[in-house]
Amino acid sequence: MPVRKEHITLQSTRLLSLLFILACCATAAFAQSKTHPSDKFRQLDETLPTPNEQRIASGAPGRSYWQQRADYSIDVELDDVNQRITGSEVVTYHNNSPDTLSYLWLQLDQNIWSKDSDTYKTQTAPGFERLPFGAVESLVNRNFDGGYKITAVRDAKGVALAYTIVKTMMRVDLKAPLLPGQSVAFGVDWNYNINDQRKIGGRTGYEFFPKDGNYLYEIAQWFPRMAAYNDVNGWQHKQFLGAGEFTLEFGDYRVRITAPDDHIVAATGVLQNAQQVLTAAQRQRLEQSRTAKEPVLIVTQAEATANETHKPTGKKTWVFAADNVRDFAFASSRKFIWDAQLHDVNGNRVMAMSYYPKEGNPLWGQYSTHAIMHTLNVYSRYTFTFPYPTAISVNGPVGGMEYPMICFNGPRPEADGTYGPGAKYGLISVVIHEVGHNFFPMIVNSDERQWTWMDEGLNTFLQYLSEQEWERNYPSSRGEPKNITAYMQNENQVPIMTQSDSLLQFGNNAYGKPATALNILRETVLGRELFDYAFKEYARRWKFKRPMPADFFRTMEDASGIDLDWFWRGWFYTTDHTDISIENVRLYTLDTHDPDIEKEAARRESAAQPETLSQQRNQSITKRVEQFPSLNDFYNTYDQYKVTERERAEFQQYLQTLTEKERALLTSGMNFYVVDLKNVGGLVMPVILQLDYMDGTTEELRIPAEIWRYNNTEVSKLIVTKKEIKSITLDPHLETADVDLANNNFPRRPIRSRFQIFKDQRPRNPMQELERKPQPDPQTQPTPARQP
Amino acid sequence: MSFYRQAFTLSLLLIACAATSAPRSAMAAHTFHTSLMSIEYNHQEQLLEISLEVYAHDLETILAKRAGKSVRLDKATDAEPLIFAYLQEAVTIQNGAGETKPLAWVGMETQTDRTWLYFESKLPEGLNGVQLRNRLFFELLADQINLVHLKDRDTKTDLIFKPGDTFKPLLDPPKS
Repeated sequence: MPVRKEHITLQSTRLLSLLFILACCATAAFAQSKTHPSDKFRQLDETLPTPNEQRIASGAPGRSYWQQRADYSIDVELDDVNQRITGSEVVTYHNNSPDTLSYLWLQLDQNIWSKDSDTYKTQTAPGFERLPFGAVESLVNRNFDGGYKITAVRDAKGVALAYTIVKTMMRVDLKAPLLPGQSVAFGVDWNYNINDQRKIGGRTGYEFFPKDGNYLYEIAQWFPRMAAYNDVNGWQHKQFLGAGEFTLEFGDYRVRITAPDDHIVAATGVLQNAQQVLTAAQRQRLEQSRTAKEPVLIVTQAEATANETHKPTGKKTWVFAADNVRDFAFASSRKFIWDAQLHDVNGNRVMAMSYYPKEGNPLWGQYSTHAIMHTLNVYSRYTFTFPYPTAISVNGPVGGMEYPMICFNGPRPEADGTYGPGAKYGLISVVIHEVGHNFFPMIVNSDERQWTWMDEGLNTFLQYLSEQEWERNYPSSRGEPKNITAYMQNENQVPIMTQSDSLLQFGNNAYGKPATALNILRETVLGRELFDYAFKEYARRWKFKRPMPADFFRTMEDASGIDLDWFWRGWFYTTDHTDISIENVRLYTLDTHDPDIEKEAARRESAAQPETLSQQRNQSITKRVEQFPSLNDFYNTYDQYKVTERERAEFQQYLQTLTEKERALLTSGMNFYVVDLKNVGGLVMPVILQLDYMDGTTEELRIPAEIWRYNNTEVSKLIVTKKEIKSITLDPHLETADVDLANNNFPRRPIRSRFQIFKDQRPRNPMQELERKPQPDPQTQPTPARQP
Repeated sequence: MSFYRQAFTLSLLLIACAATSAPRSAMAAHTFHTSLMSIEYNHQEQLLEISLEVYAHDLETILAKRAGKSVRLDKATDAEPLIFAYLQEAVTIQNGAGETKPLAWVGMETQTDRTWLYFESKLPEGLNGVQLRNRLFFELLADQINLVHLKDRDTKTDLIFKPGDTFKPLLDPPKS
């Protein structure tokens, strides 16, 4: 609903003076000025990098945009006896940059487990008050011999290349500089011990099942990977400290995974040799799954349970091919149950598959593959059609971690086969989240090591939309503005635009807050239509490319046509929160100059004045003029509110001086409400006002954030209406993440805390209820107004 | 001798904590080790009203460790006494005279991966000099951060508790 503009007529009708009826403190507001600088609408351009031919001002890739490419051919063996990886790779690196490179940087993420890793060294002092449970266990893990053992680095002819390991990075010195447009192939051999994920954590690792003596492997960051070289950072070789994930180049992968011959292997890409590694029955079931309406079991639970007692008789090599991916991960175990269903996403036929041990059932068989297909549908609608041939969800020790086409998800039911709602919705949510990461950052390839929010924030936002399409009132934990208010008002936080390894409150900062910001941008600032168009445009522009924060900010403005500098500045560059207060409401009405109206109004006002205490007590005293009526004169009967004929004549004369339009306005009976608003939290946000009128009707004013552009802290909004306002509610639909609802009403209403609401509504003991005699509960009298 | 012993214990813990928390496990919601406590003082009833938001997973883990068996949060009658017993160890409120104030259990609710614990403490002596210690999950997670937000009429206070922290005044915290 547009804001009314009638206040302009107030200025032009010079003859109409305003009668001040109801007012309290008129505040001396100051806007931004020399002495009080505050400019929350300051242009963002001075903060963003200058556009160039690679990244243009609209936020799109420019005509000179380039990115490197790295193709991998890898042979890897999984040693199930010693929990060890041994690999050999040939990397073909394509220099698409305009620059000449004399050395290459690779990432050695496994070195985070080295005994001398910076992750350990930079760990700050823990508390000594209570001994952590894991202390004894961790003492053992102190001896974990983690990290890469690089055994060879050689060129295409097999001649050794010089290399230098710098913590989690490795520099390989080329024999001849790599010119623009050239490619170079080189090989690396390595091995490493796999970490016990259950004991020391990580995005990868193994889980040991003591009951049956088997292992389940989720293997990632397992090969030396090309560091990214780009137009913004040159070599992006920020060290891996654990929180900032990965920055990678796209390429084609051919990977041969050798594992015990009774293992089932799941991996990024498409299996190339089903004939050699699958049984005839498994291949036949896979064929069935291509036309099935529900997931088909390729390995049943009975078969997987039987496999647990097997011993391998040899090895098998599984061959996978994956094109145009930025990474490659796999999982392997003899414990895997495996289900699959071919799913059509806008014409792209995707094999949706889940791998899980029997410990994952009953939850996994029922929900995992369905959640994959649901995610592909919803995300494809808001971005682009999922382009890959497979989408896999694996259950193992890792709580939730994403790789191209494959992800690792932790939730399981209890050992007795029952599960609480936390496990059920936890599983569906994490599958949606991790499969969703295929879009951000696996395809829209943002730099996770520097900007966690660019994939986690965008992904958590789409996760929220997907959850809400899963079932009615899905219990999403992130997305709704009211869920972020506790964090937003907290002192201990840093802006979203903070490097990944320095974030305080990682989950709220990089997941919850940006997801909520985008939801607010969609629902309240831009509206669904403009937002969805712009968001889709961003995804389309940067599909298989590497966007930076400015590219996102610029595209959202460029495609929506709305200036959002204030929004990015407030939500992404500051720690301001939303807290808008209705400080006061003043009412002005027009002086009609009509004596019959104004004098009557004055009489009513006078009569409405309360009788003072002395007046009341003096009432009964007989007065002298009552004893001596002769003392009465003109003034004892004079009625100052009585209209004289002369006044009426003067009024008629006055009317003659007005135009027809002015006369109509004069008699319109308009009320002029001035609502004084204060920005307590600092974040400039749209002002949503619900007006409840005396006649029972309701109206909503949606005022854009630009109302704050001249004065970021205090503004007054004029509401002109014939009706009388009974009450005003700010943010009635809880859409702005306003942290303090106590100042959102006029007149003020008590707002109860989450604690008080719970305490009043907490489920009582039904047995006591039955025995209790009905009687009014004194604690609920009087009933305070509830939070809307 | 005693000094030597202490030095040994410290290094042991350093290693232990570093190892348990080192590379933070990826993204699963509950691997962010934070709790959020909101406190309001109810002047009418002279009650400190406390709601404590935790990750359900962390709570289940600590309860299982203490009980020696898995504990389901959605089975409130089983879980509530265990949770309250733990809470009384982890959260301590002292009045201005340094006396520990008893906590009273109000209830709990769980939504997906978060659980809200509600409890209160009768505090007729008011907030002056009141101190809080919040050691929730410190024995479980070396990188646990417990945030506390106090609102009392127009007064707002933010506290942060990390492993090793002890009592902090609820009002007017020293600037750090």
